[in-house]
Amino acid sequence: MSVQGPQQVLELAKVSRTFGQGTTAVAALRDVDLTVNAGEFVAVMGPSGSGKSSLLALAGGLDRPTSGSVFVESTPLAGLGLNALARLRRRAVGYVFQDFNLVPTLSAAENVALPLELDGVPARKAHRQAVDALRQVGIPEQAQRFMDEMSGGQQQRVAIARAIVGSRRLILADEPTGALDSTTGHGVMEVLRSRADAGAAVMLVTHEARHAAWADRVVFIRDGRIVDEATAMHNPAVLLAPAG
Amino acid sequence: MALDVAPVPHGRWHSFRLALRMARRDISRHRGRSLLIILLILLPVAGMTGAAALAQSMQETPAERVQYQLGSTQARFRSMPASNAETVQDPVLETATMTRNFTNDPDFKPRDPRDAIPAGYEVLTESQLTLTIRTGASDVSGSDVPVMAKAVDALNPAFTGKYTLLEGRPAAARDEILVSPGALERFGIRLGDRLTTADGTFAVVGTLRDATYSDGNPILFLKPGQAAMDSPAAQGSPLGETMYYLVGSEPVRWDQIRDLNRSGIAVLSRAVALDPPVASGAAEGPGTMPAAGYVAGVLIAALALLEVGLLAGAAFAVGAKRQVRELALLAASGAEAPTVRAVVTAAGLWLGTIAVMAGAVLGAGGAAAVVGVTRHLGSVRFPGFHLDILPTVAAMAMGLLACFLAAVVPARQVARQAVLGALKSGRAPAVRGPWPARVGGGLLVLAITFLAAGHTLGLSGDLDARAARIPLVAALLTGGAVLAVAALVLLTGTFVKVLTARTAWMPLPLRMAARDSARNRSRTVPAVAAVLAAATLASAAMVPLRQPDGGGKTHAHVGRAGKPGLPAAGNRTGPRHRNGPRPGHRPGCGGRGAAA
Amino acid sequence: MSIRHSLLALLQDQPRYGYQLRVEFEDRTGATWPLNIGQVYTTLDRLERDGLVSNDGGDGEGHVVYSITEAGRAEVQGWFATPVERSNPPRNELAIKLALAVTLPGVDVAAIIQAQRTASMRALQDYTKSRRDTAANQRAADTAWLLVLDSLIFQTEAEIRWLDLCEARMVQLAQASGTRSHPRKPSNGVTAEEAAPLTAENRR
Repeated sequence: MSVQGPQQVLELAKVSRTFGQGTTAVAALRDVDLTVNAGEFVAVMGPSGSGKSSLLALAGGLDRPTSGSVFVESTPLAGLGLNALARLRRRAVGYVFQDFNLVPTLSAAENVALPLELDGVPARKAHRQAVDALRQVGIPEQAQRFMDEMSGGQQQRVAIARAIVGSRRLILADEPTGALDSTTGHGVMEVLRSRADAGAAVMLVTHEARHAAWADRVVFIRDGRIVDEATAMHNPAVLLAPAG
Repeated sequence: MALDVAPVPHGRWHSFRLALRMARRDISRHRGRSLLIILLILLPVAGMTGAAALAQSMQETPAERVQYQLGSTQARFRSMPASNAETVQDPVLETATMTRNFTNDPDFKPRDPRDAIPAGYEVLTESQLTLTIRTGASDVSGSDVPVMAKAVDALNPAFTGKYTLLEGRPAAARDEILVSPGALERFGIRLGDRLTTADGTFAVVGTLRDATYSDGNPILFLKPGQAAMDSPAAQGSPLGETMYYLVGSEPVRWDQIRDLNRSGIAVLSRAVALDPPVASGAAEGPGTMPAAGYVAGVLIAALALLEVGLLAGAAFAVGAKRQVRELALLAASGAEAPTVRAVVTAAGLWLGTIAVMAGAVLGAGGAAAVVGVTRHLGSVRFPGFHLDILPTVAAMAMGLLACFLAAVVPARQVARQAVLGALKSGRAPAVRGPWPARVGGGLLVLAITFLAAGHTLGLSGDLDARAARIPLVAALLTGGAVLAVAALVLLTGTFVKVLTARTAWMPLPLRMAARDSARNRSRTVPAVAAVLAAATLASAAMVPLRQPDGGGKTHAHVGRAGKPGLPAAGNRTGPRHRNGPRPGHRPGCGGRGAAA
Repeated sequence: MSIRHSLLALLQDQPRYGYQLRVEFEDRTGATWPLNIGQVYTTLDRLERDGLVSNDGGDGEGHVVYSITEAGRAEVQGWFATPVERSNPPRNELAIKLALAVTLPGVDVAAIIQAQRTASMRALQDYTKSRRDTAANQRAADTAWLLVLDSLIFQTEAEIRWLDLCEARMVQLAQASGTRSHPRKPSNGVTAEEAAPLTAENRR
């Protein structure tokens, strides 16, 4: 672990992803460069079909780029086989999806412990860490509940806990508020923000400006390219000055 | 910070344990679906186990034969239909004989079995004869009826296991006899009534069970000497043969039997039958199925296994869509491909194990109950309950395999489509190439060829040539039938598509049902195919049922054993044939009521 | 915004003098609308003239204390009960700028939209951060300020959504006209025609 400068948790270098071939080929991403540092919260915004979700899939090793390279914790994903990618996902990457995607047959704590148990952590120890993660997202009391006994917001918190459990620092969230009302969505953003403040690298894909605004950096993507970036000024007083 | 992506030591074990847990939870949370899957696999396994056990139970074991034929005597001597001294008997089924020499030896003089009995035994005789009963108003025909009778000291302790007194008391006086329950019913009499035969009038004092005949057969049991063996009725009867039962402690050995065979005497020896000599060169023993029965069995088994697979497949297809999503989720959480497979395998194993265990227990238990009840009712259709291990284990293995294969399909679907796609849409890909239809078409052509070839071969040429070809013809027909069903199953998808294509004219409910079937073909096809296979299976099962019933067969060989020299069972005119066992035609309540 | 009603509402709470009213107002609205003390005194004079407040005289320290009258209370109640009137199409500089840009040749509308969006996003980020920091203090007195921030957040969000819509409209427009004579170059360098298939396919 280096001390100088910010640590790059995720790096995409000249990444392109094309679906299909020949005349029917559709470029989902074109030459995208993007880095997310530890403690940084980056939001990716763009209309439907702009390539946001493809970007997230590439970052999580669920998909491979047509060209360019992806690094997670400085490890190039290109050299990893399918099973090594699976291990990378459970050791380094946390996914949060729009519809929570929790395993209905497992309790909240078991869902959170899933990546640990897959990694061979003994059940008891995994459970302790899972309850810890649930505490970090504010719902330690829900540990023994099952999905159908929880609200959408609680389920999404469990999903976030699952994404952060263990020593993982990269959280990839794909429209995590899409299925939630605005108050609950606000709560989920608070959790993601606090994770970033605690040192995690968070990449959020959303089309909602209000949620993207929680990020340190908002990246605008359009037709597979990054077109602009907005970084907070952290100087609210300027904005509050009377107009004119 | 470099990332470690090396596999975990013992990771396999960990993930398999996790998989077992997930599968168990899944089963307990979806009880209805799990029960359905269990039932769909349990029923065919139970059916096959039960059918195999029943079929096996129809075959008499040597021990049972010894008990039913000999009671507790050592051996039975009888004359053997032999034309020379080279005829050899089977050690168990002593009336089955084999010879290398068919020439009629004019010098060959078969000995009377009575004279050949070695010293040191007490001898009991059993003679079969036909009595004529002049029926009165009780009989519709109102004429003379021949009825089988046995002159035997049936209640001698040495016949324990062979003859059992059911009701009444042993015959004491000279004009008292025992009869089979079937005789009471046949002649409309009760215990205590008198029965008039051509040889005299007897009082019926009890009912007796003969372990070699069903209770329904009308048989009169007399003591030796009670009826005149030289009466006109007995004299001309081919049933007048007498068998000699040896009571003693010394077993009759195989070498003794071979000697006796040379004198035209057949012997059923307890010691030899229970421990038959190896390579005796005798005829095949009981338990060997005839070729036709074997073919039918194979056909039924093959179709039943197909059925198991299809039903299990249909059951798993119900939950596959949901499971695809769950498995994709597991993969996204960082499960390696073997782990995903393990989860699926675990679910299949849990359900399959429960289903095949329960199925085997249920099938065997059901068969045991059937055998027990049938025997209790006095039928000899089942000599005893015998579990047929091989088909049972095969059915269990196939059930488990079918369950496993059906469960693996969702895992393959997850592997084929992008994990992310499965997560987002949660839908199983409906990519179904033209291959099933093509393969189905090809199989259908092949099946028709097989069936046609089998048909032609089976009906052409002389009898000997046909007989020689039986195995080939049987294989062709069996294979053809199985292939035809497989082809139809593969073509079901196409049928469903064609049938549900033009639905615009239908009323809305039908239209919706048709579209639903067409859209969820992974669910529809196994269900339709299962019905198809079930229909075929049922038709195939009809074939052996149309053969003369099993009870009749058992009687036939026992009966034949009793009268050497008779050409064929069909020519026999005996009381048994007229009043043969009929289902539901059991000893009447009236007879029992009177005895009570 | 009505200073008249705001002051009346504050007096309903308790009698106050001019400077107090100003401080109280700014406190409760988060200094979003700074009041000029002259404005406060003028308004109080008018309210006294209309019989809505009464002059209670000095407090001994040189401050003139005002209290609300019955008529004043009725007026405040009426004000709260009446929805805020929406002024006819607000003169929005951004709307006018875009309307002109669309009709004039040679103007890169997409670039204008993106530039505006980035700016709005930046503002939204700052409002959000500000709201987060305020909420973290958990002070009861901040409630009014949080409401104001929420209002700003939603307004800015609405603006960004409106910009998204403008952009989508332009793509549709470009597709409909189908002319290659005026290919518009958006900021990402992709012409609307090139981007169309992807967008059309995925926009449901």
